[in-house]
Parts: sequence; structure tokens; C-alpha cells
Amino acid sequence: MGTWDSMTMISQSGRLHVLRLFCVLFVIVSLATPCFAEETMAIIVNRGNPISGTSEELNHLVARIFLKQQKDWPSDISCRTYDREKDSLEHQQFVEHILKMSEGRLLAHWGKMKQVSGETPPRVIRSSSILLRFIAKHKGGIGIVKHEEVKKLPSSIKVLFTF
Amino acid sequence: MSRVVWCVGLPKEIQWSQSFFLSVLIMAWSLLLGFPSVGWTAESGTGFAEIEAQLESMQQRIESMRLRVDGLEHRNQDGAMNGSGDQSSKERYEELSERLEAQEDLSQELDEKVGSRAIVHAFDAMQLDFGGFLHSAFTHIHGDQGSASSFDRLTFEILLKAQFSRRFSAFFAQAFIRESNTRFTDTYQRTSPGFTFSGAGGVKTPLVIAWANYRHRDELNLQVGRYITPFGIINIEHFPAILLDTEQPQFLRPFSGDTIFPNFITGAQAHGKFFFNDDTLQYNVYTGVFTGSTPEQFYSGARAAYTVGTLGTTFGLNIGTGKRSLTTTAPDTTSVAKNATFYMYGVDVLIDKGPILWKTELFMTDEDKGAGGNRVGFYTQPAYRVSDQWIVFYRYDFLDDGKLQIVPSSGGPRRHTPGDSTEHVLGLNFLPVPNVRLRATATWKEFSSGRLGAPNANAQIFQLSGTFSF
Repeated sequence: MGTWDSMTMISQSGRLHVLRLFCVLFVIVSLATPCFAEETMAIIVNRGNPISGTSEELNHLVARIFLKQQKDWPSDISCRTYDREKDSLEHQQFVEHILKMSEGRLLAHWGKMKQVSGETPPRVIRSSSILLRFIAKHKGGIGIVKHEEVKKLPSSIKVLFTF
Repeated sequence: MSRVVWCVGLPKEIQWSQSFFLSVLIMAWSLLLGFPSVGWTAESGTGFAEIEAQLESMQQRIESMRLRVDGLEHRNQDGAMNGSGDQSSKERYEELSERLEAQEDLSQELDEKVGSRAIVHAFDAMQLDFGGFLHSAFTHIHGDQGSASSFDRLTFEILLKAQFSRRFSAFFAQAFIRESNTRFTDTYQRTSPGFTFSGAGGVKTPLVIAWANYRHRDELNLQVGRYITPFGIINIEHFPAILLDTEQPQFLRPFSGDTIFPNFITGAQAHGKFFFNDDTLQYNVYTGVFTGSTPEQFYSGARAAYTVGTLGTTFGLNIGTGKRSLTTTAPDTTSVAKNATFYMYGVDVLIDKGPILWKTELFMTDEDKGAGGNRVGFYTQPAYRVSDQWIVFYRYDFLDDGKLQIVPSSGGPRRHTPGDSTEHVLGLNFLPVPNVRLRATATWKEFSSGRLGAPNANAQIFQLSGTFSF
């Protein structure tokens, strides 16, 4: 009888271990899930712009250009930056993931730029199709579109990177 | 056999009918039995031919059905193509609608902004941006011997940026100021607070900035005109709309002064930026004259600042040299010092990372003996962004002003310098909207050694200010 009880206890203990293991795995998987988040936005430029580089380099470059800290592309093409509406997903995702700042910090940046050197924020474009026309027209143009809009890009525009 | 016997005994009509039915039965049975014999005949050559004919007919029908199905499939495909065409048209329609809506919004906005008013054109600029700010402050000072209050600051400044071409631009800042300066009226300027107008009735209209810039590349810009001396952190930021405190650190006071170095100079500078992935190296090399001094006195210097992007930290090095035109009666000299040469060295560190905004600057001068003692200015100002609207900060600020009694050649109220002084400033910024900055600050000021015979003294200064920019 004692042997039976001990076997039962071992069996229950084993189940507990399995349950704990399952819980731990569940937590790990839950935490890991955001890593698989899909890229939803794309930075687009004129195809005549020969810019290239690693994702990290391009990320820093685009942030500097958008903030007008850098005014020329490395190929000496003058930058023409276009923003999207403040409430749009494109703008919000860009500020959060590329500029890595809050909307308030961004406004403070433009306030400082305006006072110190007279620089103003990029022009805001509401319609994707109008944005595409601008970027197709200007060699130094750069803008943000949703990932699903990439398939509609004309041949004169290319995707620099997605995020 | 029994049937025959049964028939023999019946009448003729009945016998006939029986025979008839019997024959019919026999015939029917014969016929029934005869079908198999017909089937068997089908196995002959004639039967196979019929089956083959039937199969052939079936095959023809199948072929005809297949052709019909193929036809239907083509039709379906055509239909599908027609459907995608509809889809494409729908997408194009939606795109055009979106563009039309955007254009309508734009024209509506323009109409609201412009309406029937005249549109301003620049003569020859590609782009003309116009802005400015209003800055106002109220100050209360409580000293060891009395108190004083005043609305001591009112500045209206217009900013104008003109872009002539891709490479040429110009920037202007014209100020209209009504202000009074804090002044302690006792002999040693430490105990009896008060205010005195600067300029005629406190009115000044300085052309603060007016430069033209040629941008060869981001790495090389050439600038001529009147510009902010590119030294340190706060002097470059300069404008009240972006400063946390109503008063700049002591070494930058008074406005347009040269306590450590001139706040503004008129001359030329080369400046630019080099980018290294997330880091940036910025430089300025400049020369010019300080408008508060005699026109022949040049001030020259250089600044290099390296920003480590990942740390959000900028380290700056500054050097400069120039001449001051001061009339001194310093305790250790009785001669008038004009064209006194001085050298200036400075370091600064700016941390701008997340909610932290921390500025620190240290500047020292090496003055000619005739110009009095060397000067030291130091402050450290940590600030915390509670949110995008609320910022709190503290500043420790020390100034050794050279232990001089100075009358600037440009005139003004500073007939004596107060000696060493330290300020502890505690402040709060509130930005209800990004263009409006409201401040409340409390300053504990300590006058310590630095002037012969001057007693130590304290003062408390409370300020409320607002800057409204557009």
C-alpha cells in the first residue's frame, strides 16, 4: 500500500512539473509574440536616388533628414521630405519607430529649429497618391506609405526600407 | 392428361375458349422463354456493332459536352477578367476620390486662411517663412534690505527666413524690447533690490540676428552677418521660447553683454556637420566684432561638439580670444584698460535622453592684468520632462565676474560688478500647447566674497513668465 501511495505521489509530482513547464513555455511564447509583429510601413524614395546602406544606417539617415539636421543625401541630392498627417498611422508609426520620440518632443524639436535657424517641419501630404506624385517628381523626395500601398508604386519610386 | 379428360366432358364453346386461353398462355411462355434467345443473338456481330455505335454516339456527346464546358470556362475567365477590370476601376475611382477630397480640403483650408485678403509675395525668394514670439515676465525680489517687484520683461521678436536658392538662405531676428534690469542699489550691489530701465525708458530695438548663409554641403557652410556666438549650449539656443528659465545663466547676462564672451558678434563663420551613423560632429570657426565694443576689436573662436546618438549626449569644446574695451577701477588697478586681450576656454555637456535634459557649461577667461581678474562661469541644470506639457528643473549657477568695477563703453547701468555670486534655481515649465511656455521659478541668490569690503548677502527672486511663439 505504501508503495502504491508513493507511486501516486510521484505521478502527481510529475504532473505538477509538466504543468509548471507548460506555464513557463506559455509565458515565454506570449512574451515572444511581439517579435513576430508584421512590418506595416514603408519609406519610399525616388528611384533616381542611388542611396543604399544597411537597415540601421538608413534608419539613422532618414531620421536626420526628416528632422532637417541633414539637408543633402550622400549623393549631393537636396532632400525633399514629406510628412503625413499628425493623426495618421503613417506619421505615428514613423515618429515612434524611426525618430524614437514622442509627438511632444518632436514639436519641441521644430520649435527649437524654427527659433535658431528658421527651419520648418516637412510639408504634410494627406493623400498617398499625391505623395507618390511628389516623390516621383523630385529626385530627393522621401515619404512614408502603408505597406499595402507598396504594390501600387509607380516604376519611378522604390522602397528604401520597411518598418 | 387430366386436362384432356376435363375438356372432353365440357361444351364446345367452353372447350374453344379454354383452348384459346391455353394457346395464349403457351405463346406468352414461349415469348418469355424466347427473349434470352434474342439476347444471345445480340452477341452476334450485329449486336457489337450497335454497342459500338452507341459508344461512338456517347463519345461524340462527351466531346460536345467537353467543348461546351471549355466554352463556358472561357466565358467564366472572360467574366473574371471583366470583374478584375471592375475592381481596378473601383480602386482608381477610390484613389481619385481620395485625391479630390485632399485637394478640396486643401483649397478649403487655403480659403479659410487667405479668404479675400492679399497674399504676401517675396520679391525673389523660393521660400519665405515668418514667425516670432512674445515674451513677458513678472519678477519679485526680496533682499536683505527691502523688496521690489516689476513687470520687467516684454520682448516682441520677429523671425524671418528666406530661402533664395538651394544653397543660399538668410535669417533675421528683429527685437522690440521694453525691459528693466534687476539692480541692487547699495554700494556693493548686494542688499537693496530694485529695477532700472535699460536704454531710453527701457525701450530697445536691436537687430538680434541677420545672417546670410551659403551651404556648399552639410559639411561646409559659410555665413556672414550678425549671428549668435556659437559657444556652449544655452547661448546658441538663446531664444526664450525654448529656454526653461526666464533668466539665462549669470555668465550670459546682461543681454548682448560680454561678461565671459560676447553673446552676439558681427562677422563671418564657417560651420558644418559630419555624420557617422548615429553620431554627429559639428564645428564652428568664426571671427567678428562685438558691437558693444569699438569697431576694430575682433573676437575669434572655434567650437567642436560631438554627439553620441546612442547616449543622447553631446560634448562640446570651446576656445576663443578677443579684446575688451572697459573702463576699470578694479581694486588692484587704477589704470583704464582698453583693448585688453583675453582668452576664453570652455567645455559643455548636454544630455538629452528620454525624460532627462541636462545642460552643463564651464567657462574660464584669462584676462590681461589691466582688465582685472580672470572670470569663471559655471552652471549645471538637470531637468526632468514629467510629460510633454510639464518640465521641472534645477540649476546651480556660479559666476566669478573678475572682481571689477566696470563701466561698459556702450553705457548702461552696470557701474559696478557685484563680485562672486551663486544661484540655486528651482523651476517649473507648463506648455498647455506647444507654442506656449509658462514658467514659475524661485531663485536663492548668494553674494559671497569677491569685492573688498563687501559683506555677504542673500536675495530671493520669484519670477513668472510666459513665451508665446508662432
